[in-house]
Amino acid sequence: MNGGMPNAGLSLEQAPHLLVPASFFLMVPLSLLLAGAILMHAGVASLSHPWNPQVIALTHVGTIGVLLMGMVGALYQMTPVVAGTPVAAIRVAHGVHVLLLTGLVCFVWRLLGGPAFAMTLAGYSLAMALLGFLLPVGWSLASSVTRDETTLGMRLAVASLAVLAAMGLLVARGYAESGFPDNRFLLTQVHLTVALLGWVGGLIVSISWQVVPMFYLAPSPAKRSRQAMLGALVAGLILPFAAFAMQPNNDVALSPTRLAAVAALPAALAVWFFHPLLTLHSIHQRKRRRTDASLLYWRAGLSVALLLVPLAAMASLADDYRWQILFGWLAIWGWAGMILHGMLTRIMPFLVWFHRLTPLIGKMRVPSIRGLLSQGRIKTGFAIHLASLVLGAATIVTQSDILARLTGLAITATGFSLGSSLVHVLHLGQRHLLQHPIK
Amino acid sequence: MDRTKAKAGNLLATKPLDFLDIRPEESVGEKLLDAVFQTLECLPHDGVLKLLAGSRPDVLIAQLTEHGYQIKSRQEQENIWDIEILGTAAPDIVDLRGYEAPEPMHQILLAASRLDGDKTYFARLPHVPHPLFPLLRERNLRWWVHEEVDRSALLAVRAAP
Ligand code: HEM
Repeated sequence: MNGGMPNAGLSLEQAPHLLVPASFFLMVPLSLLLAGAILMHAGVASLSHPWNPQVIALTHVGTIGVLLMGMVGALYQMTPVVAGTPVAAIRVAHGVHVLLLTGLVCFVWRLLGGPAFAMTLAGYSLAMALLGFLLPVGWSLASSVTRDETTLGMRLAVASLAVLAAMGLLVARGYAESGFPDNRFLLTQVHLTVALLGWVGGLIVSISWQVVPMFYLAPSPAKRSRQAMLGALVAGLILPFAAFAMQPNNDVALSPTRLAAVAALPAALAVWFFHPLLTLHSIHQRKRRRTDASLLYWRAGLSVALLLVPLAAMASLADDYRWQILFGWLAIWGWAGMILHGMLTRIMPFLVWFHRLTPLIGKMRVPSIRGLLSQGRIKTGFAIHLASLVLGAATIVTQSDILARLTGLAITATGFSLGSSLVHVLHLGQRHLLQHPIK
Repeated sequence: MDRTKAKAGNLLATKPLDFLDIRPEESVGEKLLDAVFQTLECLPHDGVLKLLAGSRPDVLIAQLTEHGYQIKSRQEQENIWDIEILGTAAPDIVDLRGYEAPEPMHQILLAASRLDGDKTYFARLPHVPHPLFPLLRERNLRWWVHEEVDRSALLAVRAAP
């Protein structure tokens, strides 16, 4: 039993101001415009060979500009609620925001032909941004007394971010002309495993246990399933590190890089097989079947996730490099990007409603969150996102330059659609506040 | 007997929601009755006491009914019974479990804005509503929440004295 003691729990002042998550969320559509520009400018080179600098640039506009920005914004918002402890020095978030953006721009600039010092600058900016984020958020999560699976999953995700960033920064030195590490390929393999499964997977899985029941009234998976998924995830994140103890060899079949990929299988099955199956099942079983366009994104993202284990297998077994690119494209834009896009159409109206409109409840008629963002707008965003996903997949298979540029156009349109939705919601909240100032 | 309650000195008398885990005392009939009645005495007439029992406590339920309390009992798992004792003047408990977030929050804030001085508002929710608490505090309201075995929640809200 928790009592409403006058000084117990979290206070509104401790919860982050709307500006903190919103400023990160707004970076998502902006990054989509950047991704669209890269695709339209570089054409099929940005969806061709995995080691093409344009591919690595586009990948990180997706992983840092879209996913990381959105997830960092969500973590600033959710950590105090889930862990019950506020994030210390929340103002540092504004610095994190500026440094992440600077880091991303310099990273991309170097890979698209900029000077070597751009990567050095990117390295310092990203390292400082992530320290500024990881220390307070990690501390808040670590000191929380809550021990449920969502908090554990969030801790795992945040720890994964620290590990993947350290590895990424080590390899990035090569692009700053400081020399690639000897085990570059193994480091990159483990970097992307920890990034996609630990950081992105850990957060999507654990947050879904909180938000899917909350927003869609779908039953949450049994505690035992949640624990089993977390266990498999941890195992699949630790095992690949054993490959660092192996001697490098010329046997492609048993190279440390390939073994590291295989060792991640338990985590891959948890995140890309059991979680989507269970979540799709629970969405199907939800109590109140009200149509909600944001569910389209969950359904599509989770269905794409089911393709990822076979695709990852093909990517590591087949010689044709297109499998690797297709895997990355579907993982970043089809699974994680789709779910993040859908969540933004739900979370942004919720935050505006929570921060701007709840003080007016009881004093006047307040719109519901559905009244802040129409289902039509959400469906349009979904249709354009889906079109860009299909176009990108077709580009990878055919290696057609014109299709690549069309994909860029569709991603740009997705960015405009999402950006205009987010700004529209913020504007509505602000207008309400101006019309009815709180005394 | 495991009793988790918000210890708040003089505020105790106005606490409208309490919880007792009676599983350890179930076999000791009189001790159990004493403990339950003592706790009920500390609750206002519109209060609710939740019990967690290993089996349906028929004798206790009969005695409580005789004293005018309303009882709701439900078997949650094999050896877990949820017993809800509603005070003689307890208001209806509004069931908000079928609403998606943030509709329950909206309804609670609306109802709380109309709360009379010493009245309590009770609601069932799909889960413990953490984001609501700062909003309640902001409005100078007090709240108590009990997490049920199925992780849904029972919430009580009152105006601060
Ligand atoms: C501090 C942030 C990061 C830095 C400095 C960084 C750096 C790098 C570098 C330098 C590479 C190329 C490796 C090589 O050329 O050998 C790479 C590859 C990769 N990174 Fe990151 N990374 C970061 C964050 C992330 C995140 C957050 C994700 C995913 C969520 C991610 C996913 C990937 C993937 C999938 C690849 C493989 C790209 C390909 O095959 O073309 N990275 N990273």
